[in-house]
Amino acid sequence: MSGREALRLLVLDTSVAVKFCLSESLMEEAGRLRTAVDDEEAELIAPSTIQPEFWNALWQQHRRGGLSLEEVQDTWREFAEDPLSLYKPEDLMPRAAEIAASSGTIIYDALFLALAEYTSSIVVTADNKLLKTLEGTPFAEHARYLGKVQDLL
Amino acid sequence: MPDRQTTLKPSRKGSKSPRDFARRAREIQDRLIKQGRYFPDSTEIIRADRDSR
Repeated sequence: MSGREALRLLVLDTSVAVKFCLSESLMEEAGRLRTAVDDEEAELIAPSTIQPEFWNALWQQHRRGGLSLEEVQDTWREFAEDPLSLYKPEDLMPRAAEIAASSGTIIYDALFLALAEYTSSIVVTADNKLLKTLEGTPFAEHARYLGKVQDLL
Repeated sequence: MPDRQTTLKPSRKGSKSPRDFARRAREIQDRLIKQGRYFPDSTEIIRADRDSR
């Protein structure tokens, strides 16, 4: 898609948000999505649960000795002010509970899927386990592997 | 679900421009790469977090 066309609305999974900042697997693919945001080709939204999950991922990397506390705090500060529009879990819960019950996903995944469904968009995730769980369910169309993000842009 | 779409509103809009955020995130990542620092996949951490809550 060219930047002159309509903005692509996508739900950002925490697994991808962390790859915007850290050097780890699939960072090139995450970089493509980040560039699309930079070029105003894509707009990202998420349930607000992305914030504690993002912090926790950085914190666990700190506990494993990979990131200093200062780096955790600096990276968090950038993310906390990022341009994401956030949605309250309580607004998404009615549909998320239905999705969790019928698909076998856990509720924290279902919040992202509910937001994608409400907004007619797609969750971009690096989590193969989630995608595997969704296989054969009606919700599979609302999630896409980060490795295939190019198809969405 | 048009009825749902019309009622769902974001609770927060980010204060930073998309361009600023993308640039700063890239700077953080580039610095780590320059230092030769690569991390285990955070996806596993996030999955374990969600599964254990």
